[in-house]
Amino acid sequence: MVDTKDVERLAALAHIIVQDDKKEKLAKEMSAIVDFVSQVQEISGEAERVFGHKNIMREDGEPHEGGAYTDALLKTAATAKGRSIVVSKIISND
Amino acid sequence: MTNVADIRTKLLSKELSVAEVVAESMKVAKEKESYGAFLELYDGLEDQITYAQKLLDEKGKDAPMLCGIPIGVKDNLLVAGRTATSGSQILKGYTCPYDATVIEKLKKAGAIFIGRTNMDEFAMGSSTEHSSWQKTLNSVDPLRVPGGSSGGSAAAVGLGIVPLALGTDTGGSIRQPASFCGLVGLKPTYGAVSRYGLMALGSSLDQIGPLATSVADAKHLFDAIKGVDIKDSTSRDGVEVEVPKKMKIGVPRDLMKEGVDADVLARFEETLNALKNDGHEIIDVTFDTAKYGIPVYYIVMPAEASTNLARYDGVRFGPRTEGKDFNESFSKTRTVGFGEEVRRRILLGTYVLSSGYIDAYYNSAEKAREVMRKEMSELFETIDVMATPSTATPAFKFGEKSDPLAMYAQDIFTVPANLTGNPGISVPMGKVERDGVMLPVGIQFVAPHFGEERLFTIASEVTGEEYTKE
Repeated sequence: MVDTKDVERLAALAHIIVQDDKKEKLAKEMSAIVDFVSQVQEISGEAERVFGHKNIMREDGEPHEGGAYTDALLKTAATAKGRSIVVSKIISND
Repeated sequence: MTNVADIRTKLLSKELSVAEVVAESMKVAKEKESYGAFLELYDGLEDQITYAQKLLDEKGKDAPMLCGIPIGVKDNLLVAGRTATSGSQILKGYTCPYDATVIEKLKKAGAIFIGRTNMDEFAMGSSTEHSSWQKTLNSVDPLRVPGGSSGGSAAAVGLGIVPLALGTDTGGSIRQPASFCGLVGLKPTYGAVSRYGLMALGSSLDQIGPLATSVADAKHLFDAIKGVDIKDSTSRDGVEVEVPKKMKIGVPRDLMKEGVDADVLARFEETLNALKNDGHEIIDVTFDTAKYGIPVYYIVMPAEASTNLARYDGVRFGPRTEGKDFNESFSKTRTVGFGEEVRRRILLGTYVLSSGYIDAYYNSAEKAREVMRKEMSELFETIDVMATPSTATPAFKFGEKSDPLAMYAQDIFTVPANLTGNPGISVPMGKVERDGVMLPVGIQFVAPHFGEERLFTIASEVTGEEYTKE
């Protein structure tokens, strides 16, 4: 069961704004989905989690030339200045 | 422009130049523009055309199979210097900084990318109605959806704009649109094709694969993109499984007891009968855990999606909606940039991963997935391939599946192969009538890991192609 309080908490965690008049509908839809997917518990008891994949690290080798990709990557950023990405202030004064 | 072999014959005999092939493809694209298959047709293709023509002139028959062949690219694959948005406003105007591995391989082979195809936003959907840019119409019946999420790629091939298109399949996003548009669609074995340069939805589920008009063409594209890649640590070279002349085809009829349209089931049984008459053995099997496929999938996929989509923060990719500080900009950007279905799945993923619920949902789903994997691999001890309809119905009408759970149910036959990593193919198995229109439906075959060759062999018997392994 997902209620509007849960929706608010999840939205804050996920950095998504949910308008007040949408909360109830969303809570209802999510409850239906969560109810439905909880069936997995009927068979999950039979197994252990298996971690089929593991992180593969590479040895430090020869790095590429510094700045080789800077321009292409800066181009994808919302705002850039010189050779830096510009972000908004993280700590506010109030 | 519907078949690689025909185009290649004309290119090799010099009846057509690469430039003429591309011009023809662009001409059809413009004639069929109202179908909305493409989000953008690329300009500036001259260098690629010159390269392909030179390769053909120099090497003739030894030129790569896809040299000079026009291909559509799903909007979630990176092509250096081009725009890619994954069907989302949040990536409006995003310029790809590098080529996806599949793109790099195809460029080298001389394939020509003519444009990027429409898709459900971040591949979340089964109708392409969730694209934030435009609708795409079914190539057979424009009143119906093309399927999704690779709906633009399917329509582009179905309309004869290109003989081949790249799609991606997380829960059926290649096979379901292939079924709806009368095409061949392959979801390769997990790890068979590098995902480097694919915008991730569910990283343990996603695979890139072909949409084509024939099994042979699907194989050509698969052969050109497969292989281990140092840039994707989940990619690997598998040991190919042998291909028996006459196959044991397992059919989990329990799964089809309800919810499958009677005429779809009739086409399915007719197809199985034809295969039986050709000497294949049809065996009833039970695949009990398959019914948990959708619930498991709708935990694992949103969990992975919510994690993958956390990177869209209004700083590194795409435009930002400004707020009074970083956190407000972050939230505003995502609220404006993501569509309704994406926001819903992010919240769902956040829920199943949150500390109070992770054991009940995400960890349980991963355990259930393990049970499915085990059952699937045991099945293949007694059968060579498994067969089901690809979809329970033919293409539906726009707006018909407004309830999220009704849309999710679309994936019932396709999802298990993503959860277990097995390869699956959809090929046309006939037509059913709806409102006076004959609509195609597909049959799906699933094989053991790296059993693509088995899939091509059995699928080509259904399409009636003469297929020989090269």
